[in-house]
Amino acid sequence: MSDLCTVADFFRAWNKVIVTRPIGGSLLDAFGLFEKTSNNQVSWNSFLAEIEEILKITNAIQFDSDLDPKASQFGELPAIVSIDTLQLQLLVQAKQAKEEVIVIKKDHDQAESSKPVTLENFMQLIHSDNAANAEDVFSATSNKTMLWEISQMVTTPLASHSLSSEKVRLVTRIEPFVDICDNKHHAEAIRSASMLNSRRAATASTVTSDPQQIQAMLRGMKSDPLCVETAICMDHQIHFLPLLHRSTDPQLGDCSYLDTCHKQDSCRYLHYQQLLPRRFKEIVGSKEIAEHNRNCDNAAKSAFFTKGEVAGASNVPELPAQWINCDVRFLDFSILGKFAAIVADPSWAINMRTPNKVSKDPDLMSLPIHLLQDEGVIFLWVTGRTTDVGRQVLSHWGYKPANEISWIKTNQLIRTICTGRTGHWLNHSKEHLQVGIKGNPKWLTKGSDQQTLVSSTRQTSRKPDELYGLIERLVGKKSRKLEIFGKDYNTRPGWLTIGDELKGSHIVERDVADRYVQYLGKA
Amino acid sequence: MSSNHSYSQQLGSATAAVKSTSGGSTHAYHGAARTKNRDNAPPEAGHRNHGRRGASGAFAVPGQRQNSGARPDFKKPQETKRVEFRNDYSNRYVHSQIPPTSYIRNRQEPVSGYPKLQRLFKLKEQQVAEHACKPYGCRVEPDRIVDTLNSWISKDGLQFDVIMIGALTDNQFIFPLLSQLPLDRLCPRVGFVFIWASTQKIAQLSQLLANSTSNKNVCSWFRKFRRSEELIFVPLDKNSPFYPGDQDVPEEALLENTQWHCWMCITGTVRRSTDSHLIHCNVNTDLALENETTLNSAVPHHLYQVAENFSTATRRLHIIPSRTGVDHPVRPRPGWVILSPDVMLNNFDPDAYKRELAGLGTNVPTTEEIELLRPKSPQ
Repeated sequence: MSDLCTVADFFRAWNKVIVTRPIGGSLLDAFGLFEKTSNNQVSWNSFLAEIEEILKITNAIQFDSDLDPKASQFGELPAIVSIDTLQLQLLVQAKQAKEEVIVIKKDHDQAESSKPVTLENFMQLIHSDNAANAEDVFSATSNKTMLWEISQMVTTPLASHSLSSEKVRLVTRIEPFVDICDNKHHAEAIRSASMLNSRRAATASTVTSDPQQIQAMLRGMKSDPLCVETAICMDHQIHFLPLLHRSTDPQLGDCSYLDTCHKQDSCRYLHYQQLLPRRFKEIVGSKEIAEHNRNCDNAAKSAFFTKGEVAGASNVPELPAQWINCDVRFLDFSILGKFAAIVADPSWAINMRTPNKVSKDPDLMSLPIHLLQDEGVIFLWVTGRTTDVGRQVLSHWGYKPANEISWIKTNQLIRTICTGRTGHWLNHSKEHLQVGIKGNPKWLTKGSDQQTLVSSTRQTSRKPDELYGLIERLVGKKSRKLEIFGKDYNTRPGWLTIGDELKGSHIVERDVADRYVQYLGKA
Repeated sequence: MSSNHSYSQQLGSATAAVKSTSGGSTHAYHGAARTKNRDNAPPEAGHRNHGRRGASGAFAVPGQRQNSGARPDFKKPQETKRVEFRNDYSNRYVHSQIPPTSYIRNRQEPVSGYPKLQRLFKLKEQQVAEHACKPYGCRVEPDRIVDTLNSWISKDGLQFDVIMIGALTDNQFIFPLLSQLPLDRLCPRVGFVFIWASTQKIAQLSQLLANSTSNKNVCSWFRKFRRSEELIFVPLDKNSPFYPGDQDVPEEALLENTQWHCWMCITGTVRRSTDSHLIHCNVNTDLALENETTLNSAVPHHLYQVAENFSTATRRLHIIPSRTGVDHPVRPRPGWVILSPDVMLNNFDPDAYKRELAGLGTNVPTTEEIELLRPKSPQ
């Protein structure tokens, strides 16, 4: 193809991109794009010359002022206003017809060898991953420096965020963490070793196998590198051993409930046993972790970055767990004092299966939550139907919506829950927690956690404990925190739990105890 | 500084016993000295917390005998059922910056471990693909979208049963558009709408729509739809093209944003037990996770799949009311008409579309095997 045709064809193909933003008809940017997209090496001057040539033949390219190549050297270029693709197409066709026969023949050969346009080829083209990368967005136009700077400005994390994340890291204990092996071959090797083991012991019905025996067996099979590899992996990572009972039919796949299944002995689906790594104690009790955990309290006392920190908070001891058994609807909230954070998990009226007394929406609305916080955050568990009610309740109590946390529910194998008709239209793999904020609490340590919690399910309606860690990082371990509608398993240091399913009451704070006694005396 | 701490100064050691109003049982207030015994503590309270910290023998450690907890207040669980070790992925995130979701083990194959579901997903995909129109794109500037839809309704008599609105980009002023969309006329008697938005936008949206029930001029169509499910999509990590980033003023965000929300709205009467020709319930879940196969695009393919697996309708429309940029190309998809200023393909012709659909029918037929495998509600 001649240069003229290449340039004309370029303007025809890219007409829309050239006249719209960000190129906005700029000739210089159009040339940048041309250089990127065209195989032909055409210089800037000949590019301009070809455009002039096109303009002599047709008026396909319209400028906002006259194109003067001499002025172009001083940056005074007119902008393209519109491009007539039909004229350009005719021009290219006419020019190509005049070109030598050999070229046509060559084109003809190419056409024959090229793939027919089928849906399959088309979809392949669409799904190819060579769509322009981010760099190209910037390099295609002359504004690239500016675009890059803006992008940097928008995406660079704030220093305050990095600093508070680092502070949170220093004052947060490292909880035991063990990786889970995700290698299918390892799982297979462990499974066959376990079957062999149980056959040898002639106790095919034993529910649990000794991981040590399995590991020893695998290590013994020196001829099979996979077995040895698996044995080594069992030192460091968690594995899952399929449990085979007489009733188990492995073809059926995993049980939907796994370790929470009520009839594991008769269930025909597969269940698993968690195999902790042999070096479990070394992993979770390593020197570095112990060192870090020892230094946590000191780090809180001697932090250089104290933004959002309550003065003197580090010298206050953490309160032990407290709880009050009461009907939340009738308790006088003014006796409880003020709290930095509140968690509420009402059993909304939709949960027909849960045996708990349900809280009706108006009942919930009328709770005097405003007595509990002057400023602070609230976390309200909601279900599908109650998302809107939850928002209304929060705004009625005087909170602004601040965020929404999703708890992704996983099973024993750390896979998301995807079976069992858990929702009305779609299955539910997560639950929502609405976060409301009241006043302008400056003492929050913001942005240290993500919006998403991943935690395995336990008893019905029991929520993940990871939430407590998240809240303690947000409002501080030593500030007062309240849980409404809590159960026995919700009680924990630093928290006051109230609800009608708690066993007895236990108050440590003298003033709260006094007021509670007074309140009981009155009632 | 804060009143939240004033009470904690007054740690008392008083012990008092009072009569409770409810039931008349006795409540005991343990002083600080007695709390260590936790003799009145609920059986499981605090167990996990303390047990884990001490890395104690609550978990079966191979090669080591179980010993009692390192902390004095550790209590052995009452139940004989073994307690399995649990990782705290949120704590892990604080220390390693590895997002909790990256530890989910069925990210790559969402239904791994469930052979029946795997088979069902495959069959549904084949069946949907066999009864899909060719991919259509209609490239329209954002301010012309409402006019285009109105012309499709009045001039061409087009209707769509499944309508998706929005994309995984925060660059959309979705509410002004939503209030103008003629969705009630675009949707037949039974229809499904999927609306995508960020966490902030979804909160705004629900507030505005709550107001719309009182204000009759705003969003008249929405009163005919009811919000039925809320889906979320979680990107892999911060390098993902779908990472929502700090949409708020970063200083004000309580938590790092990591998810996109989608409302699934239904209009008309559908019953999941009797209308299996219209909908197949409980096939997908309300959660989609990005994995290594997810291509960068305006809307990841999983999300189209949720709609395709749920509704059997073949008339599907996706409206993207904003530019999505080069990082989020709008890739055409068989079975869908995509209306967007940036869609890769611009081939939509109402007449050709109507002709093609006349041959296809308005619903994907089911097969015997799909009927056998799909989760059904009790009749």
